[in-house]
Amino acid sequence: MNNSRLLKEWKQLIKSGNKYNITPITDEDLTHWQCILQGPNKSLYQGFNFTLKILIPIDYPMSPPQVKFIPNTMPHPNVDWNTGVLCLDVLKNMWSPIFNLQYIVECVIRLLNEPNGDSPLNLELGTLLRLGDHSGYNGLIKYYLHHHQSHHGDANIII
Amino acid sequence: MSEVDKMDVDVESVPPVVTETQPDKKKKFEIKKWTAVAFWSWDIAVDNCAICRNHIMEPCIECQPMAISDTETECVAAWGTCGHAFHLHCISKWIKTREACPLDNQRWQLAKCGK
Repeated sequence: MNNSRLLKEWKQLIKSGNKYNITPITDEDLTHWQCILQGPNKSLYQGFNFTLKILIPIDYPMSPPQVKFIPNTMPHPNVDWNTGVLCLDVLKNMWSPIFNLQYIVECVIRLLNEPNGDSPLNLELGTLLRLGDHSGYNGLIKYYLHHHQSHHGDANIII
Repeated sequence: MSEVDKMDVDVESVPPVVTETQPDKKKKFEIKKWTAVAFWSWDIAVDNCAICRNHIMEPCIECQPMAISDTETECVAAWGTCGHAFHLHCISKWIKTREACPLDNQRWQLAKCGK
């Protein structure tokens, strides 16, 4: 099922304009995809781009894709800073084979806008969020983003 | 298409042939060629299988490549008690992971399967 279903998704993405730029890294092999996410407007991430790496398991869509940010690029309570792994229920116990890559990317964007303090992978940010320390929280995210930018120039370096 | 045979064909959709009522008079017009057009649709609520995205009345995405040569293995649709339909092949694979309807997350119970 794997490849033909992905081929359908890829055709559908092209047809619908592919607004999130979800693209396979190589055309012959539809198991590795990436997506350049623009930080949502009016969020702390606005103006920054983030690369999302999507790895398709062999039994997709019976199993969810593995989705992560490039390590050390995404400061977010539900994203492990060092690995880029994110905590998202639809990629775990709430996965359904009816989901597709575009839906997953939309869920990630929603996660950027609506962080969840209950299941933090970034403990510092998770704690600040739970305590309601908005200035601390916003400040730390901005620090991470700018600190990273000054180191690498751009958050979306392809590794 | 074998399914068409089972459908109720709407007889009225065939364009009426103009009959020659007054053969002695010069015909006002004469039909030289006509093309019959018929429309049909499924009378049950079916759509694409949400898992593989192929039409529910066509083989699933895995059977599709063999569909022309291999008529032995039947690829049928399966309805759950929740009313949602998928290919039997697709839903069988999914319930090994979680016994829930992929669309509404209710416990999956097979109501019927077939074409």
